[in-house]
Amino acid sequence: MSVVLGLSGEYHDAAAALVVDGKIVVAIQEERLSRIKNDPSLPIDAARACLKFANIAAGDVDRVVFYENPVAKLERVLTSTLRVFPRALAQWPRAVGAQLGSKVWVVDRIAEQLGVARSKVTWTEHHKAHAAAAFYCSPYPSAAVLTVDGVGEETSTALWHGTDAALAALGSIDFPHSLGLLYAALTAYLGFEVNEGEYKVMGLAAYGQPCMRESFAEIVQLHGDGTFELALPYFAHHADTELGFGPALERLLGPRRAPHRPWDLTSDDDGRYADIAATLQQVTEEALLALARAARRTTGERALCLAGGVALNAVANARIAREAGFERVHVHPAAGDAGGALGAAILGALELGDPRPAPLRSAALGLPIDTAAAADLARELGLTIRTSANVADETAELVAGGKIVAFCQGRFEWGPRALGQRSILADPADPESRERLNRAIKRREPFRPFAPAVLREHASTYFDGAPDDMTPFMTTVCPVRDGHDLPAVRHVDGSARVQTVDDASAPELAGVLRALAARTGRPIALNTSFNGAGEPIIASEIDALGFLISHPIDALVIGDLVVTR
Amino acid sequence: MRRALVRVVTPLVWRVPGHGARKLMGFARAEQGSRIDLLHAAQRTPSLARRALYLRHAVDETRHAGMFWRRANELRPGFSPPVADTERLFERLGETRFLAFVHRGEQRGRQQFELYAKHFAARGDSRTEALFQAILVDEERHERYTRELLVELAGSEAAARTELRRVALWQAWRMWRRAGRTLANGLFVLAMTALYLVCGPIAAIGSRLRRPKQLAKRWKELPEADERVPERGARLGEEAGLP
Amino acid sequence: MIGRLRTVGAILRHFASRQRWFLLPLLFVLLLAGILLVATGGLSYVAPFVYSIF
Repeated sequence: MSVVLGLSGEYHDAAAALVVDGKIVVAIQEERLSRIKNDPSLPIDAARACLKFANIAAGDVDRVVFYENPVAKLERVLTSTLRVFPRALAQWPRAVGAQLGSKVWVVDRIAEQLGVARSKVTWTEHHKAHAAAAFYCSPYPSAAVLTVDGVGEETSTALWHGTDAALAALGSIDFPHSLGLLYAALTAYLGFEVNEGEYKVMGLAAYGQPCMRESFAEIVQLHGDGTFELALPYFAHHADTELGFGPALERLLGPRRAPHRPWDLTSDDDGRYADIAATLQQVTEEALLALARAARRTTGERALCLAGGVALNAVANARIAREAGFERVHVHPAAGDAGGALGAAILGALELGDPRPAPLRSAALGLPIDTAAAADLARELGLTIRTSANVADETAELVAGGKIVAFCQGRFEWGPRALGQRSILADPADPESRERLNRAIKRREPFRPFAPAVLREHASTYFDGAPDDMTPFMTTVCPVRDGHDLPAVRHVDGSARVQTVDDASAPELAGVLRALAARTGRPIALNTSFNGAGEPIIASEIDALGFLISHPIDALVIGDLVVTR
Repeated sequence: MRRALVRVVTPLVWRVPGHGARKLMGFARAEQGSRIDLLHAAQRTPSLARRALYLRHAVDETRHAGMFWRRANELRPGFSPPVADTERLFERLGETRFLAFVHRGEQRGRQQFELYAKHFAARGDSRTEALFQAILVDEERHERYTRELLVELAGSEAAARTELRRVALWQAWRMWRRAGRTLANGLFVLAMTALYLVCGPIAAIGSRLRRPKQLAKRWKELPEADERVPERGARLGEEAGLP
Repeated sequence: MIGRLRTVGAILRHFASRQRWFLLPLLFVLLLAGILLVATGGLSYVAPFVYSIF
């Protein structure tokens, strides 16, 4: 038996993943356990939880693989800060302190805190970890693989060719030229938090027109062959992993948007920001398309795998699927750095001689719910609970009746999307549900759309292009077909970030959708993640009950229990 | 003594423009930090009754954090939502001493907020007064239940008082360490800044002269790739470094 | 401790392989400073989570 633990962290999205004999056993993001959003700290709790779940002692672990090379990263940080001397003076002490005081010793700290021999702990390369997660979890025996993110050690974009159990590196684009950092800089410019706001920018883009191409041509140049360049004077060229923007960007695009100002998309001001978002989105899409086409030309493959933070851009993924010339496209459900932990574990397993894992059918790789503990705690909290004879049916009845139901089943999801394990469900045709959800429960900006979950076998009736290899993990968007009134899940541009559900991917949710179809004629539910504003997705029954007592949802369905206030 | 200090300092501190908003944000972060620690406590305590109590307390702290944050933004827009980290106090202190810690925190919070409520009532700022009054109701409850639990876990009133004393000592020690760390940090920043200024030019020149060949690999292996492209990318990086 | 030396070896090997010789003296100084910083607890996380008086 070979046991490999993969870890990611130190910068953002710490996670741990366990692969035993080439099979993916469990994968957990640290934030789910620590309740700190995007928790970057070393995922020791997640690692211990993985081992506990698999009933394996730390001493029995054969290999621990960290998802990036901390020494290469140190070198890049040092040289890039020195190269722009003296501009990075303010960043230098902090960067050096972080790197040499803590980050470069990550492997030693892992060994100490986990109780694993130092000789068993190694690292892999950041983009290779992304590529491994993307390719080896995909259903393709061979494929082109594109990894696009902010920056790893040095690389921001990389192209690979995956065949069977091997990944060959074909080319890369290095820091400071990076699509991820471009998007992050503009995210900060638009007043959102970096690494959380990018998704909001994508949603905002649909409210604007891409009319600022000329200005953007000054910031980033796309060459036809897939490569691109950032015009560095517009960006804050620091040693940090976050690339901010400089005053030159504000001179070009206008003053930045103050963070946390309420949005009014009818105003000229916010309209302009929406246009900037729309232009950014279009430029990013074109850059990714060019990269994808280069991948097709070079590898000749018919399938494409995507990973890296930029692959979370579902709208761009949809364009790639349509226009890049590939027949099939797959995006790893945890496309961000968390996925690197799984990729690292798989690479470790392959090195030990294990076979490639089976294609990922479901993202439910986390820890299961303890229904008995939930019942005990609910009673102690003074809540009303009852055991349901047919949970799918009862949930469907509540949803069809316009109620907002928190749905907690099985093992929590791997990646940022809720896919029926920790979801809030509502009626997709009810605009009032959407309004109540946005305002009172999730407390989000009004332009943020919600996503639908639909039974896979009926997906094509309602959504163009569904189902495909991306829809089970909600990593793409599809246009809503004419004639279907789904105001709560349809974005202003007519698209929806669809999740196609079947018994392999999310059996409990599939049951609810079937029951919904029997009631309303449509096997569709609004599916948003089960978490409050600014907190990570719910993991345990404790978090779930805490949410119930502090948010105005109508019911919590947890296992076969229905809990109300 | 602390209360006397607070009474003296309060009117001055809240009068400084902008500082009030920052203080409220500080309180928001304190509530958020408390929330995380209480959630961890709920996860780790072996007792069901205490799990429920910690969970309700954590929910209160979340609400308080939001209330402080919103009021801070009303006074001075632009604060991000409070983010907190954890010192893993439940693990470090054990449940009994953790309870003592939380109790002391709630007690001090309650005392301070009573004074602040009076201060804002006198100043005529009814909104901020109402904020503190609302939170006070919860703080009083938290102070009470943590004391009761502490006596229960410690075993007796006397043992509870001992725990409170011990935790007070630990907090004083922490403040001392914190001061030391701030000093060490400050010295480090100074030393590194000096180092950067001294070594910077040398390293920058050396860096530019000797670029490893690997960096020029870019898209070279791909068909139809423009041979000039990697060079262009490399040159831009250098240009950006010019002062 | 032995493990840390392993990492130091990896650092030296990496910088050597990239021909960053001129950075090695600087690296040495930084490493020392980093060690001192950690030893004095300068980098460990310290929560400012108190209701500050000032």
